[in-house]
Amino acid sequence: MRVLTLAHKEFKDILSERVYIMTLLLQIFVVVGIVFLGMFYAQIQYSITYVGNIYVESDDHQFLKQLQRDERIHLVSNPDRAVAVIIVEQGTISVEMRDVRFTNDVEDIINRAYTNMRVTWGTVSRGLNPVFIEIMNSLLIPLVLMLPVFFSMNILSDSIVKEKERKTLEILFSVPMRREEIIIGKIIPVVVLALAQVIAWIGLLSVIYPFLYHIPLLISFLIVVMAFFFSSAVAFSTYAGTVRESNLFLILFMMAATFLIFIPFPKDLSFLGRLSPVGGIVVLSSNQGLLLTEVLPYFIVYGSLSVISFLIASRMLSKDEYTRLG
Amino acid sequence: MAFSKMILWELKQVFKSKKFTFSFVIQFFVILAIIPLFDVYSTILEDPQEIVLPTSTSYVPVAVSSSPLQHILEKQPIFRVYTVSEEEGYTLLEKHVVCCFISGEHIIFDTYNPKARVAEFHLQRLLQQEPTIEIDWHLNEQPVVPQQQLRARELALREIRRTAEMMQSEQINYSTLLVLLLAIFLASGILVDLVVSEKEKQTGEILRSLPISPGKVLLSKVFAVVFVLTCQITLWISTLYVLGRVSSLLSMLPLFLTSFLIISLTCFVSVYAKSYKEAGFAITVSYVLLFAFLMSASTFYVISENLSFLSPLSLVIMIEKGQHIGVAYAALPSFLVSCAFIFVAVKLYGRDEFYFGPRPSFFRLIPFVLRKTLLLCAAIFAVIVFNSVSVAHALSEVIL
Repeated sequence: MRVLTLAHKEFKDILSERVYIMTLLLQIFVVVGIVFLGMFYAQIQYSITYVGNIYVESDDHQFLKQLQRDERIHLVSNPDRAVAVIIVEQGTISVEMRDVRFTNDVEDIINRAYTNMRVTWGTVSRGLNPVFIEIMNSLLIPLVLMLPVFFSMNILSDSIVKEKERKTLEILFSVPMRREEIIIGKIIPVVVLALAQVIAWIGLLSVIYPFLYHIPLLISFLIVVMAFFFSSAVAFSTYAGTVRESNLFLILFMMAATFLIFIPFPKDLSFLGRLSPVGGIVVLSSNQGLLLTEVLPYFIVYGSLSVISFLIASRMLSKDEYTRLG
Repeated sequence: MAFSKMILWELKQVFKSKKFTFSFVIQFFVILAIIPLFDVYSTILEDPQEIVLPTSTSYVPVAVSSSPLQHILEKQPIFRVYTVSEEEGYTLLEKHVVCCFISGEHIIFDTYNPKARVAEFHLQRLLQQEPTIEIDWHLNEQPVVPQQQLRARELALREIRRTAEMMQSEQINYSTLLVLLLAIFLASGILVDLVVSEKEKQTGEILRSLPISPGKVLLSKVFAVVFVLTCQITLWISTLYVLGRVSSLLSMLPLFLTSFLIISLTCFVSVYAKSYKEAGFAITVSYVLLFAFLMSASTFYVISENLSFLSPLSLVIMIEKGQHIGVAYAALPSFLVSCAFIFVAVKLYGRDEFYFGPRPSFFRLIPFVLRKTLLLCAAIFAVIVFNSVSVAHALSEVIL
């Protein structure tokens, strides 16, 4: 009950700050920018590889079927507007090129179709550009969903350091509440706010990109991740003497986290990349079906990290040398 | 004399802080850790076919049952390969756990799974083999490709080339520039602290009573930070030079220009902000906008080299190409804009309302800023007008 009262008071404090509300609005700009970035990247890839209209006359049905799979070309029934006219007769291929700039691409298309004929390919329904699907699922959606977590760490850190600066933290300690309860009371409103943002971005993303799966499980995972990041923020801000110091620690922490998430590991250590929170978000949000063995490690790793960082934070908060200013 | 004393005093404040030492040491280790990781990116860029985003590891789940293709898939980090029996493979496919099932040389896709398209995209590329057939080529040039498509392709290819050039440059590794930005951000953090803390601790009033103009007080803070930053950058550049990562000091010019721009912007924002919180928010927004501008302006370079003056980041390429006169000329706008920021900040710092309030709104500030920077604005305008002919030419080329 006391925890909820503290959480309620913190929540009101956060909402009364114009700066935080503007930060939320800033995120809309960032989210829209990120989605456009994905579209831009996919468009660049498409522009480079797209050849255009190709006319084919082939006595090899398999070869024709393979060419139909290739996204870089569009098979037409009239040779007049075709970039290349391909004639396949009794195993010999002759090509008439109408634009020399596409010769290498056409050669690659023919080779791919010809050599991939050894494999029997099933059907795939056409839809969005595969590059766009991949970049959305594996990079941009996790980035958008991690944004509220990163932004909220600052709010939480501000709230604790301000208490220290105004000397109200000592008054808060005199209230009959355990230090753990104080941490929880501080974290709850930030989690609620971050979740509201996460849900808003999921709603917005679902409109632009309708392939987001397991949303309740995804939100649960993000709560666990938040517990880890926010407990760490409590620990940093308890250690820091001023807002500047706590901001510095947070910036360094977030930088380290960002680099670990987005910088590739050497090939032999690439499995480590799967353990980043982004790995969990990718698995949960992009797979239609899930295996428990795939999902559980993420919850175990981040659940354990949350518990450890929470224990560290509460231990630090119970030591006077960290809670007094200076 | 008082001015140099102020600078020394501010420097003492910075170096005395234990937290500065702490962040400096962390920065050193972060930079050392990042450099080899960026090398991985350069290696990837040498063979763009192999590009797999780090976050794409195990992104495509595939079930495989006694297939000769398995070893090809296992080498690719993007695939999460489940080795299964025929029956298990179909079960995983039905439950949508995998997006495709490879049995022998048959590939069965989960028809409505969007990832199946991604799997097909990668598999088509990976399973392609060396050509075994001969093609008989004839050339019959005809204007069959729409101009729009050709232009889009040309632009995209230029963008890829530009990125590759910057990443693989022998003179300067572009990613090294980005790493050094870390030092700039930490320095701007120190500047915010030096300026805003006077307001928060209300020591600004004491400073105003000193026999030194407020403008000089602000400049002493800026010079102290610039000194710290110069020391840091010199240290990092020397380290990188010894490690053979930087061979031309001129190629560091974009870095210095960008850092001057960031520091001057930070100075302006800190003078205007009332508190740390406000300064933090305003700086975040300004940096996002500044970087959006710098990056997008540097992509204009793709459209035409004449547009490179818009961003110091595109200067890297000009330096690479040895266009030294062009470099000096292209460096001018961002240098002038930085001077304008510093100049306005100094003028604002001298006004009482920025200490005691009520602070004028941002929109009321604009006429004041324009009045005070008339000469600088005229210079910037002249540079832009001078460029406008080439810009118009470049844009008309694109439009046509």
